[in-house]
Amino acid sequence: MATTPRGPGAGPRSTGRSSAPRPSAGRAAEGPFTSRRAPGTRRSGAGLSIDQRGLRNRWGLIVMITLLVTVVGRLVVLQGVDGTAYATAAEQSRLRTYPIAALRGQVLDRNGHAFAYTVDASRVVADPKVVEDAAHAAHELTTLLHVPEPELTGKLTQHNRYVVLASQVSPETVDAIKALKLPGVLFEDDPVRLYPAGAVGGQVVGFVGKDGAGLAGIERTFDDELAGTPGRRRVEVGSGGNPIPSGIDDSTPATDGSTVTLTLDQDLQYVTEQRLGKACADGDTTQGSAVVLDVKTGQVVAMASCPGFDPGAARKTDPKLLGNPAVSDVFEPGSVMKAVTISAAVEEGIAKPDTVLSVDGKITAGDHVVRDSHDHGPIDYTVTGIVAKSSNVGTIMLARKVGNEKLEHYLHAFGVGSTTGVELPGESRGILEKSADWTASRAANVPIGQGVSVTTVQLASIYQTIANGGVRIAPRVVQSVTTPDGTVHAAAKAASTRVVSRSTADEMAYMLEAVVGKGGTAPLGAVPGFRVAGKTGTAQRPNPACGCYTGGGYVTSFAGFAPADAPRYVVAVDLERPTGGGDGGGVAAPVFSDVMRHALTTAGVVPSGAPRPDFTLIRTP
Amino acid sequence: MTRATARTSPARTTSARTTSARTTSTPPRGTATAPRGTGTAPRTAARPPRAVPSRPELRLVPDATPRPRGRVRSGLGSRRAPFVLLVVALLVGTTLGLLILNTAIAVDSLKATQLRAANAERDQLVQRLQQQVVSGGTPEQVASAAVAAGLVPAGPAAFLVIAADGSSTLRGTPEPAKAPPPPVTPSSTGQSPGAQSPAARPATPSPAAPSPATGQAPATGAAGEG
Repeated sequence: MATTPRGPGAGPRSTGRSSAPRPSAGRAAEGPFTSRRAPGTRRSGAGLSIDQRGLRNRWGLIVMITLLVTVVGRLVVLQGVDGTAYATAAEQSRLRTYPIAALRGQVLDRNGHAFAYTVDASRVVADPKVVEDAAHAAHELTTLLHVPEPELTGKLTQHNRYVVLASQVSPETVDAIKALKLPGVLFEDDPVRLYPAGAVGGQVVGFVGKDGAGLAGIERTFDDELAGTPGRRRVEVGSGGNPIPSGIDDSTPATDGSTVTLTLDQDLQYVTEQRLGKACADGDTTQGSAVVLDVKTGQVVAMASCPGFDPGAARKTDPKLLGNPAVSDVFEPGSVMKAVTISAAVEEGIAKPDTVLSVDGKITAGDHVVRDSHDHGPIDYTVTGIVAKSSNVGTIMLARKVGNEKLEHYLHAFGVGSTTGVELPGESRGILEKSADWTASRAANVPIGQGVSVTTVQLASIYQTIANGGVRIAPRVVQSVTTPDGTVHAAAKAASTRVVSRSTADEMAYMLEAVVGKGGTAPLGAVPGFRVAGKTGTAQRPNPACGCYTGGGYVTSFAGFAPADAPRYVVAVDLERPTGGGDGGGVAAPVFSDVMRHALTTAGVVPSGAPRPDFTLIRTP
Repeated sequence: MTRATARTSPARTTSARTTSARTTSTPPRGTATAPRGTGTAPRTAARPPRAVPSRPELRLVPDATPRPRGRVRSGLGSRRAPFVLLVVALLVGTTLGLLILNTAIAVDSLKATQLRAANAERDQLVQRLQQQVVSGGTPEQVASAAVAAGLVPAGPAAFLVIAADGSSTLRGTPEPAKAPPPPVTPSSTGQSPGAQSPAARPATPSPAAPSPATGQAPATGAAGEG
């Protein structure tokens, strides 16, 4: 349109118009609107017909519309379809997410003393590309991190962008390193788990791995409760990573882990471990375990094994030692199991403490002969005497009267052959064959504690049943779990089942008291001032080399409770002595006595003052 | 074709103007009434009928038209001035307010950062002190501190039980703790087993019985259990 007044084309179209512009062009030859082009020289469109123009316009229109549609379509796709993704991507580039580590919960003893807790610490890392002077940095850091200088120099010159220089560095050291203002040296959260009590309770508490997850003991069983939930903080940052004050700043706070309170008593645990450690150091004993139970509640007050380990140094400890033998290792208990056999006999009405049996020195069982510990002719033992003197023959005689099936039933009822359900990983069920599969020799061995295997906890549980008037309460090691907001969730009460009647339990307690003291097998198990009931055990230890008893040494044990007339604590001790001789009365009983004395003294238990009754062990004619 | 006519029409209108300018007898009304809407016109409109014959015809039109325009502008300006000032003031106020608020927020966030750092430092201090307390209270530490202080483990305790009537009985036999300071002396305590019951004992069996080797190892050959 604009071209028409200027370009007076010579085409046929311009015939009508030419009259008007021409005079102006001619008149204002020097005016501003004069075309500098000579008339008729314009080429564009000059030679095009109307049809050609129309065609060109149409194509032009098509091209334009296509472009427009493309652009609009793309816009719709960007804004409508992918819009949210791009918007979030844009937002993400401004947002930084920082994890907020949850503080792992504490493990406490029954009095609130810490077994395990977590403190803040940092991991020192470096970006070797950014570190300017590796030698200088290494020189500065070597004294602070206690890492040899060549090692640091080597790490700092790696062709890498991330090297860890040191782990679990204390906040004070971090401040000192920050003051050096070394470029390329960074810090990450790396909380450190502390076990202030060291080896005390180490086997029960367990330890954590490098990533902070529980690997053993309570740390493993209660990992979910202890770990808590990590939180995160999302911040909008400006250049340089500094948060924008009024920008997005939403954070999900971390939920710290719960505190697990154990039933252990740290002091008694310490004494038990010290005493066991002393027993383990006698040259013959390779391994020993002891468990202290509260009679009324079934709670584990102390549980220890020697050799123990310090959970804080678990990574440097021989992996073989990192278990808890008191719950995971089984042993053939020997005569301590006679308590089950006699209980069965008393409960079934076969025996009373004063029932007299003529006991020979040996008894034939299948293809071999079981003897008493010392040779003797027929003696008129009372059942009390059989217990006090730990007569194998007398016990087998009673067991035969009870019968294999009944005996198996009572063994199961006392917890042999099934886990106690104590909150510790790797608990063993022990070994107990079905009575139907017992051979004649096995049927004679099981009543005296051979050919059947138990853990120390199971052994303690048997005596807890007798001490508690015949009611067995499964041992438990966790008292409560306290959430970070202070709510205390008491652990579920362990099931209590009646195994034998109260009168049977009382008669058993009476007979077991005869063991400790003059005439019994364990005078060393006595605790001055208190009446003690218990039973010794000396079992042949299977020789791992040949799978037989020859050269296997002995497992000596002692289990008992005190005060005998009002039981408060049960202590079970077992010591493996592959090379030594000795017997339960001589080796394990003193350990029992010391641990029991300490347990009673600290608990402030007052003796009843009633004298130890007189026992008739052998019927006098 | 239409354009050709359009071009010619301006020529007519110009001629029409000139004619109207010349014949001023009636048109003044038209020019005078037009500004009436502005408010200042009525006076000028009132005069013309008298002054028309004496005045030159062409002056009136250009004179009359610019005057109302100028007056209108200045009148409006004077009225809008407060509004404009208000807007400007608001803008300036808002800007300043924002500036102050932003500064305040920045200062606060700076303070918050400082306080947070101070808090973290205190936390660390508390943590360090708690660590000392905990590690100082472990049984091992207490035991070694006791040994260092010259304490020895107590022997068997005795209990003085006071009855309701005021009489007291002694239960157990107290033993004085041993003077030498070995860390643990437990084996020595177990040596008086039957101390409290020296009562007559039923006939003791064979002399072999009290011997320490009262173990009861079943003398089975090989039970075969691994």
